[in-house]
Amino acid sequence: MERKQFIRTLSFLAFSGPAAWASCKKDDDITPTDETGMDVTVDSSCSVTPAETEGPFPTKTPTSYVRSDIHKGDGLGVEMTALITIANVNDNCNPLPGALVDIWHCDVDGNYSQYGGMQMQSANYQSENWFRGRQVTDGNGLVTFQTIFPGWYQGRATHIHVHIYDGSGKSLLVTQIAFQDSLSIDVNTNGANYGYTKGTSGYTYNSRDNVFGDGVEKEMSTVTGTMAEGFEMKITLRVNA
Amino acid sequence: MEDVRIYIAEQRGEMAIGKGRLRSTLNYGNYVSPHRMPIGCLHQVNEWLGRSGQTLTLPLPERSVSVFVPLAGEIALRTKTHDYTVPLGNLSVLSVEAEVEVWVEQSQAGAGYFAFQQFVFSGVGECAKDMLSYTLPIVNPLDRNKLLPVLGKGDAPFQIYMGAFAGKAEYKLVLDPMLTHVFALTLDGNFEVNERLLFAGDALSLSGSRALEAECLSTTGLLLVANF
Repeated sequence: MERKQFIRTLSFLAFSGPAAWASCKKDDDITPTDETGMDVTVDSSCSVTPAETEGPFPTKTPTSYVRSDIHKGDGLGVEMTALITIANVNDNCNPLPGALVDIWHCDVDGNYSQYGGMQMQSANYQSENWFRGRQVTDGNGLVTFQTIFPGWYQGRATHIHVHIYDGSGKSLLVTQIAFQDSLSIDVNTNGANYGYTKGTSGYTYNSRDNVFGDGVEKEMSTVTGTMAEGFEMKITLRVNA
Repeated sequence: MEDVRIYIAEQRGEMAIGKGRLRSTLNYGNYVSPHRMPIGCLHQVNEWLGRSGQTLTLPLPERSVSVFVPLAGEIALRTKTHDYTVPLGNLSVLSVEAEVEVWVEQSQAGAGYFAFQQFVFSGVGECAKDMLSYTLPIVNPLDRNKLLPVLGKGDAPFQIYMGAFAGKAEYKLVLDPMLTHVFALTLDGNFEVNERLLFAGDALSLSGSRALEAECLSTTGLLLVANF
């Protein structure tokens, strides 16, 4: 695994200086890639991202939540900037500007806003609307959300729901964004200070997940950063527009 | 009129080479797209990654000038007649008259992989016959947050600028009015370049611009700019 070895990179040279090379072992140990892993398999071929179920907790009125910052406001969770690029397969996977992108995900405890008080989710958050937002892709096909790394709940791997529409409101794709198992395990093992207190007992790995189990490569995100400094999540979702 | 094109890192052509990998920003090999045609005389922008013990074979077109920038580790370049070493933190320019192959491998054993960026300019006239080597202006803190020329004046019919940025710093690079194209490649970090957002590996080409304005949006960042 290349992440376990010390590689002198141009950035390390530029910002650490030659003097730091002699004591580079420590730096290697704390590189963000160690925490997030390098073993993410991302399929970036120009083909449509698989459609997935919107699940039982879709946003009820997405037009009401046009916003980039979708935090819950309770201070829990590892900060995460979600950078989602929408590409048009019908245009050689060039960026698709003007598309509407809705996302929603659960909090650190695995609960969704707008729902609750039922068998699937006992905690009642029907009057709340956090961790739900809509943005319009810019000229680079990009939308950005400020949120947290999602928690998990029974039967599912960590995920973010996405619904993409064209500028006229026509639905183009409903899908889900996946995260590397090692990252989810790391956050839920070492992230108690951030509110991830559930642990990993009973966690559903991607390979056993009902949604991702048939192949997750096209929905796998790339995450960099650390829990202390926050994560940056990037993914390109490909649609026929 | 300014012609602008963005090249998203994730949309680069990708090819496995043994245990190594090639990522092509412009058309190369089997990767062909009408959106990835050569930019003026800049015909290839390739990021190569090789494993320890692996030798990568790079065919260089006739009458071309190649630029090599190690990204990880020191690389050894070998032609039929010469051996060269390009340390990390250096940039080398190799001019060839006829179509040749160059073999690239890890110069020093130890690390598991090596990586380098390659640019190939075709039809730009002859440079020096031997390899030219330069130190990148990225280590000295006094060089921070600037885009500084790397090549000597007159060494090549193009210029390469390099910038090591720390923090949210901006820099305006005035371009040579005699040159038509500028190509900016984010080697690390995130930048806003002429009001376009570039993440690591993303690139931007501009034609007819008189200046390039770069702002580093990440804690640190490395930006390479070719003016040709």
